[in-house]
Amino acid sequence: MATLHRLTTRHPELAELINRMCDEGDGVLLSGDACYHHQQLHYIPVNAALYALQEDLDARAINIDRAVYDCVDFDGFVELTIQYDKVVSW
Amino acid sequence: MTTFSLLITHSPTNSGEPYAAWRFASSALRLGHDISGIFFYGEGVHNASSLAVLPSDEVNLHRAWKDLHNEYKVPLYTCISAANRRGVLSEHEARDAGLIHHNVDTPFIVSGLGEFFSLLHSSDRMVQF
Repeated sequence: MATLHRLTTRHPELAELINRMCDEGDGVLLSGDACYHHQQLHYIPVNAALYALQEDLDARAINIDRAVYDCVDFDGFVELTIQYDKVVSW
Repeated sequence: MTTFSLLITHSPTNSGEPYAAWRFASSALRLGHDISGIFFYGEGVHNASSLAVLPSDEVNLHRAWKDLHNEYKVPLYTCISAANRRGVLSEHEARDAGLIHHNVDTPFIVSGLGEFFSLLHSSDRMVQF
């Protein structure tokens, strides 16, 4: 069962937590202050798709690597929650 | 069409999560999906307070939730025990407690956790904010 992990806040051990939480086929969506962790997640070994909420990136003037992240608006966020079997907000 | 329910556990004054929830709900409904209900729990019950007075250039989420309800008839539930302990009271609850003021009115519905579990089972996706 594929899970969309929606990260919402800053956490010093976020990358490590993602590695522990994610299974193959899961997705990770950065939103809110979790967007500040975008560079740390480049190196996570799990095969999770990486997404970021464009509006929250813009609000924080974050220039994200679009080769790594698929950036979505709120309509895209809604579609992601349908694409995955469940959504967990961290 | 997918049926969503939303659980909101943050106050609009100390987190961007309720605003994100409102944007998510607006998008989902505009895209033709359904929202069986929005449940305000913990600090999230402050979304139901009608007595918050905000600067005119800020989003008034209390009003935004009401507008969403008026346009799409989305039920808005607040947890009674979480609300009472935070001074978020309907007229009925205020009267029972011997208080003269209340700050929750329609369309917000004061309910219990049973309503939350009912929403959980009646929706395809529950998203927490």
